[in-house]
Amino acid sequence: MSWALLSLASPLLAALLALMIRHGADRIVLGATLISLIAAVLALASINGEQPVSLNLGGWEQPLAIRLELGHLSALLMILTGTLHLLVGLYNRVSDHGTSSRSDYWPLSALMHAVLLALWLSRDLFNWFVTLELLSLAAVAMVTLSGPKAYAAALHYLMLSLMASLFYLLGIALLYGQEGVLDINQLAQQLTDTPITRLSLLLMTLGLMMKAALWPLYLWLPDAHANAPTAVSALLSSLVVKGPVFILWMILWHLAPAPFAEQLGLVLALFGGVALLAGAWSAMTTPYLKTLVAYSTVAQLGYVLIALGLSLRWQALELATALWLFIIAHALAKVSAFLAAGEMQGTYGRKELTVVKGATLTMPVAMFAFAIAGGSLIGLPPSGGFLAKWILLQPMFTSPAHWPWAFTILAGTLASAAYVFRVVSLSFDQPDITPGSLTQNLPAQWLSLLPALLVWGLALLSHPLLLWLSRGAVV
Amino acid sequence: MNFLQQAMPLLVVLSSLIPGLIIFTLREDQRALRTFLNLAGVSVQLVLVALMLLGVSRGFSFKLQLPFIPNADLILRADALSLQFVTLSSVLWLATTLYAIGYLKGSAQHSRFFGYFSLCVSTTVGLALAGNLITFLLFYELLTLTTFPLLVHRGTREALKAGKIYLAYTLTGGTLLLLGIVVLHSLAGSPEFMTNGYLQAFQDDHRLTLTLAFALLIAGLGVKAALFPLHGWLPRAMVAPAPVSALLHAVAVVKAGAFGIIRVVHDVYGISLAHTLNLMSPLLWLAAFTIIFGSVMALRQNEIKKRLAYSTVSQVSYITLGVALLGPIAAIGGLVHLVHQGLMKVTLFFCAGIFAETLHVHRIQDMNGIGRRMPLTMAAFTVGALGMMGLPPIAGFVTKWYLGMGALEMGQPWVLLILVGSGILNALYFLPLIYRGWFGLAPERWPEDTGLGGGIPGWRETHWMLLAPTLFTALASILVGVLAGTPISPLAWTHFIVNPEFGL
Amino acid sequence: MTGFFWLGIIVLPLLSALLLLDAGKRWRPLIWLAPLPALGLAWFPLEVLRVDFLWPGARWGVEDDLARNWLGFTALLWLGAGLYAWQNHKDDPHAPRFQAFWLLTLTGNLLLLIALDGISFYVGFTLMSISAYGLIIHKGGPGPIQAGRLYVQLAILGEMLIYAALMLRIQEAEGSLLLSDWQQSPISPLTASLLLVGFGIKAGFFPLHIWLPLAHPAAPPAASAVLSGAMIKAGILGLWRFLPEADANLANWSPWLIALGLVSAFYGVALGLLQTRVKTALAYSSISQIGYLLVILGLALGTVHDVSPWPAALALFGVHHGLAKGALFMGAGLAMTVKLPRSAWVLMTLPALALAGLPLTGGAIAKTALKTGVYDSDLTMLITLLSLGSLTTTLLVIRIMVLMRQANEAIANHNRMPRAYWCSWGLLSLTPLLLPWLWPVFIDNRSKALAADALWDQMSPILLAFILYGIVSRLMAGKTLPDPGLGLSRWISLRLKKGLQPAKPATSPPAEPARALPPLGTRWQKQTDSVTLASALLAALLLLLIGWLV
Repeated sequence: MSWALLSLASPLLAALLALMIRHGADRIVLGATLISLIAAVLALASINGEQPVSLNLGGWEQPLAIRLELGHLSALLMILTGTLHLLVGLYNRVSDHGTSSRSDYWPLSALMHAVLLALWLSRDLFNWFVTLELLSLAAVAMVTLSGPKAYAAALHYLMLSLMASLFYLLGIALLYGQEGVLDINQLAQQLTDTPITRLSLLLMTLGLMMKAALWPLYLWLPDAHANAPTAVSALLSSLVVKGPVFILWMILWHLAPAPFAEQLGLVLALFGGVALLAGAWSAMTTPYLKTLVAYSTVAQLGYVLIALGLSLRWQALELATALWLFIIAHALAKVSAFLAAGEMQGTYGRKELTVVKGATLTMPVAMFAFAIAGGSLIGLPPSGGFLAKWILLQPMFTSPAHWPWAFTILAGTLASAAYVFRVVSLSFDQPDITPGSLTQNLPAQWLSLLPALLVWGLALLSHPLLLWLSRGAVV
Repeated sequence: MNFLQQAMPLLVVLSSLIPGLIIFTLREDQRALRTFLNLAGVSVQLVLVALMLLGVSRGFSFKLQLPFIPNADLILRADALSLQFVTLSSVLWLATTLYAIGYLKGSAQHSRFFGYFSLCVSTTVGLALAGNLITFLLFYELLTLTTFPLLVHRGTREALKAGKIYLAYTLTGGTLLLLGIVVLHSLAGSPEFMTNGYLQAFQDDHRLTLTLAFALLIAGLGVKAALFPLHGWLPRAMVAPAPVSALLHAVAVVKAGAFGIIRVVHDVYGISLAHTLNLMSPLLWLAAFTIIFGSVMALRQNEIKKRLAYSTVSQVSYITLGVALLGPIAAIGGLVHLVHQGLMKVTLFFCAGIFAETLHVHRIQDMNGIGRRMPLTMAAFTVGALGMMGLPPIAGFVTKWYLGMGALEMGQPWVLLILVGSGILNALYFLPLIYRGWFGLAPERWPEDTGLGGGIPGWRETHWMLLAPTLFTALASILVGVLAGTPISPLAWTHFIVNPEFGL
Repeated sequence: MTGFFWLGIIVLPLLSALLLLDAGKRWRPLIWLAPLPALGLAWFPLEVLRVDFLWPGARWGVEDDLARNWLGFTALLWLGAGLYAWQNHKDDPHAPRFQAFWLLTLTGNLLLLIALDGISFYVGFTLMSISAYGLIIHKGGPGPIQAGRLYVQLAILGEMLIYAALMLRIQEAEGSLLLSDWQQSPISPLTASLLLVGFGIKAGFFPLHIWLPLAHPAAPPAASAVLSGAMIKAGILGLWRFLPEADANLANWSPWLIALGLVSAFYGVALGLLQTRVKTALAYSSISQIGYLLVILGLALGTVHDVSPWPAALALFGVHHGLAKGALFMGAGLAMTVKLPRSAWVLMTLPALALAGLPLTGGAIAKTALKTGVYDSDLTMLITLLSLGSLTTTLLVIRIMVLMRQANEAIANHNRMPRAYWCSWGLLSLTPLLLPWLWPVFIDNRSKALAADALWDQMSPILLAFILYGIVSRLMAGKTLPDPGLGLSRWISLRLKKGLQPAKPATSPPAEPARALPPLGTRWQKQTDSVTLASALLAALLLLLIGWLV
């Protein structure tokens, strides 16, 4: 547990330091991120056996204390957060199109890192509210980093985020009024199925859905993600939207009464199915490269919704494994896709999709990164996306009544293939420009490739990963 | 030895993967290094394959197992069937690499091309060596990805369109295959392929599921095997450069589908189960229809490569037909056609590529008198075409012999009618080409004579790197037919594959 | 191990194709000697060779007299024709192409003769049929091309039918490939009909003869000689080998085959008489003669007990007709190129009259053997028909000779005939006289034919025919009759061609201008809308879900 605390503390400290010492903020933050990542790995290693470790902050007893809990899932998510922050930070430093070493990016990203770690470790409704708020604020602030053109998008993001927070807060208030506790374990033990419970859960669900940009409440996402600086887009799509999903999963799985969970699960899964197709359709038709990637996030979250909804509907815990696998795989792939897309957009100097024409010749590494990240988004074996889909599909053949879900997922697969290959096939076209005329930044391109390789490498790790996730999903 | 036995299958895959990855990083002008890497890769692979052939015929097993998904490990292993396909791939890879080096001289983007080319071979080899369905799926999908860049290599609008159609078909196929595999996996896990399959235990309680899964698998595999009505991508895919078409039609893609069908029928369901569930008659009819359909469509084409493409649709279904007949002799016919069709079709595509590159002859009516300008190429073309008709002593006849016998053995004499009809149709669409080539009146001047290799009829009629592989494969198609009875022929090896399946 | 010589006679022609690469052309004439070893092996047949490396069960060799005789005459004919072709194609720029096809055809022809298993036979048969296409259309021009097209169309059709029959036959023989086993295995009517049509196309008896009158005249003389002399016999040999002997079911087919043979024999003559071109008339004569071979085959099939006379009759007829017809085709070629001296005309008459069964020639012995066989069977009424056949055949050969003379009179080339022609055509023309004294099977069977009463029997129809021809030609002087046969062949050929041509390329419609899909998302992306819309959605969802879930 002490490793986890170290992991949490170091980016927090770095954020404060970077605010004060602007010169060299990049190095401070990157160093802290590295320390945090190592600590997170050690934290995972320190979990013996299957039981999660709890810690009450400040030494108080429950129900007063703020409880942190380190399980396999939390530890994995911490590692994921650390890895991606490190990669994106490095990219931002290396790339010609990143923000400067003195910019606000560094303290904000460190703050976001710390907040996310806190979110993964918390097990208490109010704590989560606080982390969510901080997360949203950090995210909005980071969207504005790309200058005035992003202000409008950031503003909408902020407004909707606040609205979502209100819903969530309302839900907590109702629940607290009824039960008097906020710790999720205690709530789970004493919560009864009353209309108040249902209403509060519903409010929280909707609030979180808005924050996570789950269909149909995703409307803020494409603009915000597409207009943010590349590094920020990557972080927003890969990590920030996953925070609320984590909370959503926790409260619904632990708190929702079974009949309610089953009904809500169906709704969520249906939304997921629609999200898959609608998101893909928008991605297929948008004329802009980064918007395409942003819409792909909407579509991919459809898988998450389906996994979440069906695990509730069928009370199938194994689907939670699929859920988290999706989240991990999507995070890695999306970072790669955004970095590659951003790098290409920056290098070619235009944001239309058509810039990738001939990119396999002019910017092969970045294009390759995009393509194989796309492969994972489609779910081609042996990528992480495939693993997740495989596990998700497994229970769908236990009875014929479940088959339509399988076909929905397959339709989603094909839809995602359609938008990924929309880009890829364009990249094989004859280029309009000569390769020599570009000033390329190869290290940045290779950095964008790295997460995509990681997600394809998940196959090699699949065994321990699945083991940890199946344990982690319980808590 | 034990370690080596484990490492062998992986090494075979890596022997083309690693050169491929290195080639990606090369600059355009590092031609010598690229050629060296290509040839070194293929040589190493050939040696490894030869070793494994020797080993397997002596009863050794080569297997590598890595944990992947619960109940579904990644398994790479070499059995008789997989080695048949691996050998074909590596031998034709050698020929095609040489050809491609000659073919692409003077065009750009070599590193990309040869990189993907090598990747394509390593996925094909991996697919052949896959030891269970999940591993097979993995390489099946990867094959789609590695062939796509080759297909659209020219980057023309037509190529891109063909590429998109190709993807639409194959990715849908891959998805259906995935679905089928998941169905079987939820029933029985994904154990290793085994002779006579591993699903017998479920034949009483899960008939419907098994049938559904079979339909899904065949639909998924049928896309690549170009079974009617899933063949639509194949004729369009001929816009690819000739070496790619050759590889696509002879080894990589269509064969992957056919090979998968063989695997599913023999080693997943097993002969007896396929019989019990009566899964084969629809497949048989479908294959028979595809054979005739492909030939009829071929007859309607005016472009050489298009005609060849439809001919592939027809010919690959011979393999399916042989498997679907469910008899030992027919199975031999089908399996051996895997090799025979590969050799003959690769020859034909090589020749079509030579005509196009050397003289810019693309259409059939432009072939008049080409035999006088390029006698050796035309001779190779003739061998391939006659073999396609199934005329002895070329390889195609051996196939037809075994298929015909197999059909009679299984009491399906109507299949003979299909074979005869297909032979006649093949003659109808190949003979005019041969006729024009040898006896047509050569035009005053060719559409565009590039003068490759010197432009002198004979050994210097085109670049030697184009000519040598073509003659090699043409000769091979005769030799495997003439020497079918020797223990080193594909036919003998096929006997070795098939006999255990039928308990012979 | 001496059996490997059999391999040699097959491989040798293929190897000698390498001489084509000899740019100096010095060694190329050796190519024409390729059939020589085969002739040697026909003389001294060696042990059977097991060629299992080709396919299990492959056997090459000669096991009976029929094969030996036919191998002998085939090799002899190919050798003679080769010599002729050497001279004939000396100045032909496309000679290498001709030689290549020549060698391939020869290989096929030899292989089918020495095949003891069905597959080998089929391989040889196919090789021969397909390669002969190259010989037929060698001269180029519309005539040969049309002829070649019809030939190859029918040849491929025949191949496929035989392929089907082959499969069925292997099945019927329980997997055995050996022709000797096939002769003992019963046959189904389907298989028999497939064989009859498949081989019949090659043999060219009525009504499967349509390609023949077009193809044989179209080829260069040497090629016509082997086509008519050796190759069409392969069809009859195929039937003989593939059909079982003494099969009760098949015995029912016997009358029909005999009838077909006789129709063919008379039809050939009838149409041959109408011809105005020598080689076409010769081709019809081949149709007529192949009818007799079919009659023998039919008689053999009808004989359930003792089939022994028939192989001998087949051997006699085959050898005699093969050599005589070869000589005639070459002679016809000569008659159209060089002014022939008188001595040549004497030589030319020999094979012609031998076809009609002139006493003391091989033809007489062959016909007598046939008649003797008929006497021993129950079909004595055939005798009359056979005598009538001799008469009509004579009519046809007279007609042929007349046509030849007419053709030769138009020739202005007074050069001396090259020696190679004398050696090839001249020697072959002499064979009808030599056969009864030199060729073993003729020696064995000559006793009856050389009897005094038999001589008159043989002579009378010939004399009658001369008288008849004299009368008719007087009556018909200056008139020509329409020829129904060739027109039909040409019509079929054209129909086949038209029906099979690929569709003309459709002019592709102009490519549609790329239509950019209007981005569906635009409306949703409108900045001003998104907050309101999202809030509205949120509220709506809340209400909906509260209504349903809470």
